[in-house]
Amino acid sequence: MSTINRHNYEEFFLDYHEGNLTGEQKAMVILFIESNEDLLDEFYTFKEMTLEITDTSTIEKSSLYNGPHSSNREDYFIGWIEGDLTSEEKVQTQELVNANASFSKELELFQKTKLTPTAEVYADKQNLRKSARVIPLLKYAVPAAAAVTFFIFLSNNLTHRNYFPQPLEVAEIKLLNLDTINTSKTEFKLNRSVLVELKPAVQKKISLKSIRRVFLSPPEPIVIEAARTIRETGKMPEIQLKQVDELTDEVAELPTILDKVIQTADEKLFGTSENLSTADPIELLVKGIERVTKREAEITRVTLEDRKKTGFKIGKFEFSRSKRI
Amino acid sequence: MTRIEYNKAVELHADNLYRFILKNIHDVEKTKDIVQDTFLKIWDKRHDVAFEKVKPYMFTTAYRTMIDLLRREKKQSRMEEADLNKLTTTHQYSDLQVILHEALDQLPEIQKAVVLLRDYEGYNYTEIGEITGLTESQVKVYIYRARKFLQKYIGNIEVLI
Repeated sequence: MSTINRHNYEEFFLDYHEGNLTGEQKAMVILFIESNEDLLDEFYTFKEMTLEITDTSTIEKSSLYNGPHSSNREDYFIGWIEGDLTSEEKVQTQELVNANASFSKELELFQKTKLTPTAEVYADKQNLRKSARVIPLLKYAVPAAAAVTFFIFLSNNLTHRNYFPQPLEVAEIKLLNLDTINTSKTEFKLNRSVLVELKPAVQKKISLKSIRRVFLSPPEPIVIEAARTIRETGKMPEIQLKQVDELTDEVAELPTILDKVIQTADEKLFGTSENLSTADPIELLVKGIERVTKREAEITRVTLEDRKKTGFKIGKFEFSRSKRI
Repeated sequence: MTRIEYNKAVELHADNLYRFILKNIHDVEKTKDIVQDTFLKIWDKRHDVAFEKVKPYMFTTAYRTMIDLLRREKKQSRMEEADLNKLTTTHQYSDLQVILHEALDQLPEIQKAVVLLRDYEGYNYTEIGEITGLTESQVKVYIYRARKFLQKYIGNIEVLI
């Protein structure tokens, strides 16, 4: 240590009071103060800076130990109920509880803090569920299959494109010099002509099966009906002259007209078939009409260019309308 | 997740989800809305969510929906700690679970949620963290704080009784 002077005296003063100086150094400090009296008060100030232990309190050392103790017991109690403790910690916690009856009560209260699930029910679960998009086969499959089959069938038969439009091949029966006819069966007017539609392919020979339909032209056409079985049995049916009230400009026609031509051999109207000279239905029809009207009639084959048929065929079924063009 | 698995998830978890949300917000209609909204989202995401993972996904979705709702309604409690001074003494208590649930309602929302997930659904800290977006340590801290509050709450009630 160097010699004391006014630049380093603080270090010497502090060491003097802390007892770090030798006897010679202490004497040197005393001599320095005597020759520098202005530093005397400061010398004593350093003496007061020495701290003395006046607080004799002690720290709770147990809190520094590892493991459960009174200060951290709650964390260990919670860890106990949460299952967070190791087996060693559980043993230590149990020992702590055993050592203090109040701790046991605390642990018991912590155990009571575990919530018991309540039975809440969500009532609208059905709305949350998702259903598969099930197509009700019985509801839709049969109609769908039928529709598909129908259209396949339809498309196959609609290949007869040349069926329509085409002119009507008819046999025209004209009554001569007669406008009004009165019969005992019914009253009707026949002021124009009776048309017998023929199958398109038939041009020369008129047979029963070649006649597609018979119709009387407007304004008050007469539709001649006959029983379907006549064609099959060959027997002469009663002819029924029926006045049709509601007809348009279109030619009245019956769906099963092929069967209705045979009525021209009506026994009552024409007599028995044996009395007839011909089995030609058109001729029979003419004879029948002549008999009913008591007037002569004539028959000619014509093609009505002013009429067109439109429609389609499905198999043997025909859907068509003839219309004036 | 198939449609059948989705429907199975409805059967298995809808009640639990409903209970979890209901215990948090105590509003039946809003709880139903949240549950329906949650399952709607799950149905939309069914191709991305495995059946084995659907329950935590469901709770996560519902929890976040609930938090959004609470924030919108500004009902979320900002309390850091529950206040034991709010303990009422006017009721007669006979059922510990009633007392506990009353205490539960005084917890901050986040503490209530983690305790419900822990006790009702049996989730561990990690799973609760995934659902609530908290770290595992945060979950543990919240559960410990909640336990201390609940313990003191029922302790005080027992003293009063």
